Amino acid sequence: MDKEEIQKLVKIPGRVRGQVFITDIEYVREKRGEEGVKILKKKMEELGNPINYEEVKVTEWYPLGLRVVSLLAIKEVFNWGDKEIWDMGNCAPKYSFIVKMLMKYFLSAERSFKESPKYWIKHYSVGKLEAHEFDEKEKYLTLRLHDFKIHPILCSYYLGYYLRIAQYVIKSEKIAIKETKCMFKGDSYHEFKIKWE
Amino acid sequence: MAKRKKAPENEISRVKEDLEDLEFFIKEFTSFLPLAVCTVNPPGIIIDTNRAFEGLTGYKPIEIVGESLGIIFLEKEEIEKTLEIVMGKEFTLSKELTLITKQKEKIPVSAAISLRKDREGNFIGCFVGLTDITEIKKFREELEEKVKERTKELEKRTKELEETKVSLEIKVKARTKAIEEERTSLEEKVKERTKELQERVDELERFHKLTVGRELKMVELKEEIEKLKKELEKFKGRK
Repeated sequence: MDKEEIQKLVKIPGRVRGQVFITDIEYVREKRGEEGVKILKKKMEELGNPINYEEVKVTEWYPLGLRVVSLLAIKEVFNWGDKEIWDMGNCAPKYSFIVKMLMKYFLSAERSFKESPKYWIKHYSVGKLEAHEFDEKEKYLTLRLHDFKIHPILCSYYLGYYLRIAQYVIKSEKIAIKETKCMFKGDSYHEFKIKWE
Repeated sequence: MAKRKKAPENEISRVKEDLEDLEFFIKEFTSFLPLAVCTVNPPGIIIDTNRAFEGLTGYKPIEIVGESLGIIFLEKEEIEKTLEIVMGKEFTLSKELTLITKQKEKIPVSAAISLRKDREGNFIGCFVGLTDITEIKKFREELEEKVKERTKELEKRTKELEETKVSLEIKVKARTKAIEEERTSLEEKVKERTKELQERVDELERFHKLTVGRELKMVELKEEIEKLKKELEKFKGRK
């Protein structure tokens, strides 16, 4: 990733809450300690400081492309793969102040499912999350993400993220998530199917 | 027009600043709080913890957030039931439970569970405060042990006293019996002695009567002799 690529990413229309960068740096701190934080900051300096993690504010809106910059930089400096990005997404709700503030939406699996579009717009100014299908009898639900073709790295991240939200509200030891449709694979939207036993 | 546009932006900016200050305050406050606190959502999943919670349980937020509250207690069913009670009856409840730390250490804790509601009054979960009661429990157990020892001592003393009482009762009974027997024996002796004396008295009376009768007979015989003497004299004189 170079400065040119960053410029491209920053031009992606849409904004994201500062919270996402705070959860990124907290995850790095947890997994790699203060040394990891230093490495990441150094990388950001090399890239012209597109994100200054120290000054990011939870509720402030930032260019959506920077969300991708942050994840790509982390992936690059620590040589992480999709698995680690998935885990980052899975841990993100644990650090998120916004998630804690929005706990009123997580009363039950069905309620959380219905409220998920509201939850999305608290974090992103673009894209639309659709609570598509909830089948308590068959024990599955599907979420569809429309108009959000930003970067494939986010698919891995959201798989972990939505699984964690499901783990918050579904009382089951076995919960699985799969991206059944993807805009980067020619589909017109992303679809995440969560199944539990 | 420009002025109108500017005012809401300033307002939003101010609200954002207030929110950030509030978040900072909450973080600072929960970090400072010496009481271990965690926030639980309606399905009983831990969604937030403070620094004291980490200190007490050994679990970092990343390790424990997202897990069921029951995972940190030995009495898993009891904590689930307690949560249901708090959620159903809407009051604060305290329960003594056993915390299992990350290092598998068992710590007795007092868990205070309080209901959380949002602005509209919707139930959104619970606050769970944990207090280490190891010292209190140790003190209480020591006190209970002392009470047990003291009770045991008192029971022993009571038993001894009861045994002494029983022994005394036996002695008193035996003594009473002996006295009774002695009394009976004495009465019989008195009766026998009285009978003997009565017989003696009767004998003496008989003797007395006999003696007096003899005396009288003698007097009578003497008088008879005198009378016969006189008659003899008289007879001699006539001769």
